[in-house]
Amino acid sequence: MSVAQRVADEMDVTLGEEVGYSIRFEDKTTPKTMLKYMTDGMLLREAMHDHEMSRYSCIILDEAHERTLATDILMALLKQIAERRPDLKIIIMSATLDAQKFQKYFNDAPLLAVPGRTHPVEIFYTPEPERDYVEAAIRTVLQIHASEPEGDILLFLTGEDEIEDACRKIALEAEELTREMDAGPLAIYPLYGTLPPHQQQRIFDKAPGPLRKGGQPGRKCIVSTNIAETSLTIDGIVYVVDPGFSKQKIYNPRIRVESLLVSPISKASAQQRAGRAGRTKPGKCFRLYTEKAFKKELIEQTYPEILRSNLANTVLELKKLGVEDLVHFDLMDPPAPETMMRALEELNYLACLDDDGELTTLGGLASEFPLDPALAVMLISSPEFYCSNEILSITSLLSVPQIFVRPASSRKRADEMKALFAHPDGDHLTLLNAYHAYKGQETSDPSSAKQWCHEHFLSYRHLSSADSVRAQLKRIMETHGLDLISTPFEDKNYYTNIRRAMLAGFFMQVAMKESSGKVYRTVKDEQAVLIHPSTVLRTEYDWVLYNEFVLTSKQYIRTCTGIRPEWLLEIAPVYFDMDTLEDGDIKRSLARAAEKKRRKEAMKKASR
Amino acid sequence: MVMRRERDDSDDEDIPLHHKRPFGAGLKRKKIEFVKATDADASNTIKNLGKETTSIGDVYASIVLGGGSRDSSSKPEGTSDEKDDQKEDAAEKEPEPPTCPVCSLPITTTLQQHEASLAHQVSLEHSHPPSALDRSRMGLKALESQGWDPDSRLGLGREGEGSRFPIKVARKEDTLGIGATRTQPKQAVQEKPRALTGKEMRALADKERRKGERLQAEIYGRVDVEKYLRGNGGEDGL
Repeated sequence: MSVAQRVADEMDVTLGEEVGYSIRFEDKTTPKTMLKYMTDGMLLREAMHDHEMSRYSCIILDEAHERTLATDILMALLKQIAERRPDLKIIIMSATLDAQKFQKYFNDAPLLAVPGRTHPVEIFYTPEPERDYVEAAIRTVLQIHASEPEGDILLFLTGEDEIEDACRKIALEAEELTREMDAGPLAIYPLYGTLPPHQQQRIFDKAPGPLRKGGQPGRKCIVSTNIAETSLTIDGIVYVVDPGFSKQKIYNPRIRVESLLVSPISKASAQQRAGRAGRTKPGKCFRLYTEKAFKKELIEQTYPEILRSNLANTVLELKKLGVEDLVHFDLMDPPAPETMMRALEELNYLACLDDDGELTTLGGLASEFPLDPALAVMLISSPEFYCSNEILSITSLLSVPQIFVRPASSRKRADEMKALFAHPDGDHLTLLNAYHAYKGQETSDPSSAKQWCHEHFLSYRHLSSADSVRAQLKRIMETHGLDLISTPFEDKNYYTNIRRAMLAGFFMQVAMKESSGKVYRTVKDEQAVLIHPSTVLRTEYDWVLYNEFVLTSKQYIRTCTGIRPEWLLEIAPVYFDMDTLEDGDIKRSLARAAEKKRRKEAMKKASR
Repeated sequence: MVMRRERDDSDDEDIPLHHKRPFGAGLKRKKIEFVKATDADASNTIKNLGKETTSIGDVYASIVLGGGSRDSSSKPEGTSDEKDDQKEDAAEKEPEPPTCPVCSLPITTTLQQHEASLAHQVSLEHSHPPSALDRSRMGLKALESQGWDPDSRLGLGREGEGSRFPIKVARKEDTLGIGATRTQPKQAVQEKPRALTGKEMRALADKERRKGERLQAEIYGRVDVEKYLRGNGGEDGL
């Protein structure tokens, strides 16, 4: 968006006319537009309805080195289209060292090097492996501050908690350094994705000046996740501290779990991090591992997203893009067969693909929504349960980051506020309650909505973005003739209908409580899990459906809602087929539920 | 440098808790040492782009890779031919030990014995076990219908070049640095390896026995108990 603005300015045209952009909720283009900026995901969505990408004569794919899912699919598509359309020009821009890999992939296309204006960066390693990389990182920052000449510091850590913790410790010690050793002031800024934008903006503040005239100059230290590695550029960084880890999403198709795990970075990633030190003048990079470890233990390239993700959504997109042959589809890094099989099976259970792997009507409709297939199917089938309005809200709330704020300083207060919205049957309904309360506040007194959110420990930013997601999804529903209806709130089935409707999409994410204790076991994958401590679920449900599986020190299921086993048999009879289910507690429990239901119906009939 | 850090760490354990300095006071005590990279290339990211690139100044020039691959592909055939010739020559000159076509070792024993030998067994071309994937899965059927064979030991992709298995998931719950191991092998290594000489062994056993005797004398000072115990393996020491 800002690039489009800049280019429009330099071309002396109005943004949105000759030069436009298109992002998730906003299309700022006209028929006059000749240059359009958009995300890789948006271009992919466009390609679903225009397989030849006939609107464009030249396509530039920037930041291809990030190897997002959308970029990888686009590259494979463009490679195909280029054979049919010799007039189409394709430019792939990558900022890494494996340019040859891209070149080879695109049939030995010409390769151009654009040398960046970077300064040399001196690399340092530790002579021995570090026993505690966080501690070592903190010490290194302080050592740099105490002994190196002027220049800002960038430290890479893995996640929010680790970063906040490190920031506190560095601040404490830096204060002492200033007192005891006459070091200059040190300003410390955390940086991670979920940080509110105004706080993210602070990393661009100038480093503090010396405390007194002629004193040691001050500097700033940014403690960041790997978002400072490629996507964000901060000038003035001269020192980089690299412990060699980052959080990476990894998908395990055998237990169908996508998790964020701390893993060693790749060599390419380490080089990229080092490069951050040389943007304004020659810099230094301190790696908290040995040179031998760099050469032997780090992999060459970070695994592209396509090898680390659940591909259910991707397969649906590919089908919609007209890719028939998934086996020989010419991706730069084809995913593992097992991952592909899982995706096909999930879509088959969701009835988006038939048994031969062909797109069904429901699948075609589901691909119209920019959502995971399970969410899309839940949304599409919600009118059958008389609660599409509510499911639409829940879907939007699940598509944005957590709306409940829980700052470390006032956890207790935040929990009390959350309890105001709590629904005994589960977290999804609690989200819905909070959203309804927010909407009520917003319509009655829009000016105070922000303040109200702050008081109730709700994220105004995420609630309003849920609102725009909702508006976007609503438009898609209306275009495809999906009714927006609600069960009257007074009806005793109001919440029951919502819970049943959720199962229509999430029947594959169900867990049953084990006979002993608090442990639940996921159906079919047989994973022992605990309900995440953030849950509001109070009633002791034997069966729950969950939104995500979180792998931290324990295996948790987060955002859970209680359900009844007989619903499973009604709503997803193919998945919970008694003939194919493995023997065990789960099957026995389901059989009991079925029996109970049969008897109840028989009694009803008899009494009639 | 390294040794000093190790020692400092162990000193740390000996300081009584109330004498330990707060977290902030550690800067001078625990210095993180660094050594310069020996690989000069690593410090400059631009160099690694390689020779096959064109500078933006030469926009019109373009370099296409390839050409060299054809020469190398023709070579292996030639060399294998030569090898066959040599084999034939060798067979003519020394007819006694015939060469086994499978493991290309001379057969010095009977054919049966040779075929049972490990070297021969290892070189045998054997079929791979079939893939462990459940054949009834819908996903597998869909992939098979598009021409993927689970037993082919190939991945997906135009030429089956894709990875065959998903990326392994390893959970990390500690803050160990890269290359560090949880056990501290240094101490273990120092104590373990030295084997005792016979003389030392005897001396040690002697010492142990005397220690045992002294203990017994102290605890069971009465003569009758001592006698009784001696009969029961007091000789062995402890």
